[in-house]
Amino acid sequence: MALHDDFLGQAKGLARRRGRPSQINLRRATSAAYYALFHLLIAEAVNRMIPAQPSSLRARAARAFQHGEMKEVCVAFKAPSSPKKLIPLLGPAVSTELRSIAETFVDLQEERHAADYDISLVLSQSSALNSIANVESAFQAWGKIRATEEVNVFLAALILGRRWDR
Amino acid sequence: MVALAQPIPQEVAVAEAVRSLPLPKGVRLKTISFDEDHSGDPAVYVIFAVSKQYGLGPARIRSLTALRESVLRAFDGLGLDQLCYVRFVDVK
Repeated sequence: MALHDDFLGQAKGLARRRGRPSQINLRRATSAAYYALFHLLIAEAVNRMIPAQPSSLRARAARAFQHGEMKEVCVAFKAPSSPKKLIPLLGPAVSTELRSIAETFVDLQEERHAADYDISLVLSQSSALNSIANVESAFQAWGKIRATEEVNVFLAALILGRRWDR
Repeated sequence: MVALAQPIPQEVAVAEAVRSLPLPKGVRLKTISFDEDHSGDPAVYVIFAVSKQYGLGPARIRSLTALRESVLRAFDGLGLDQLCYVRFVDVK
């Protein structure tokens, strides 16, 4: 099973434990939900854009992704209209599926940051389950659009990060 | 004379947009707050209180994700620069 599927499975298991889930399990569930989407996007990007040989090249390339840069790209792609500089590649607007995926990434990154670092936060089970449901929807949406040209542009943007603006 | 704090127009617009949305049973708007998110981007947090009386089964979670979606689309319509985050807190 791929890493992103493992993360999603872990998130569901932790948030749906019998009885009242502990705060630590809700925090880890929220974090795992974010990392499920994070690793899905990275896997798709490196598998498509980075050669398979030498055998450890893709794993090495996967470590170059930065949360902050990925967020910036997703903020641009979740807007109602395409990022200005990318209109020649994307047309006036990206699909609702891609917008939704980008929106979920931004949302979950913020939630993950709070879950991992805000010690005053009391996470609710409904919030954790909502996060997981959003990631599941993002996975389904990804399945629908993964072979499209707009996804190629999105993945290239994720790889190039801030260098995309040059 | 003491000047009373007036809500800024953005706050009023977000509050009106959110309050116009239908809410699932046992869900009420708790707070709307303007702040910065963890990376310093301007953000608005829309927080709903969710009664656990209705359980947290798949249908209930679907209704919450649909509410989140409605809030985000309403927020899009306002054309504001903030990032909008929808959060849920459980209440007994």
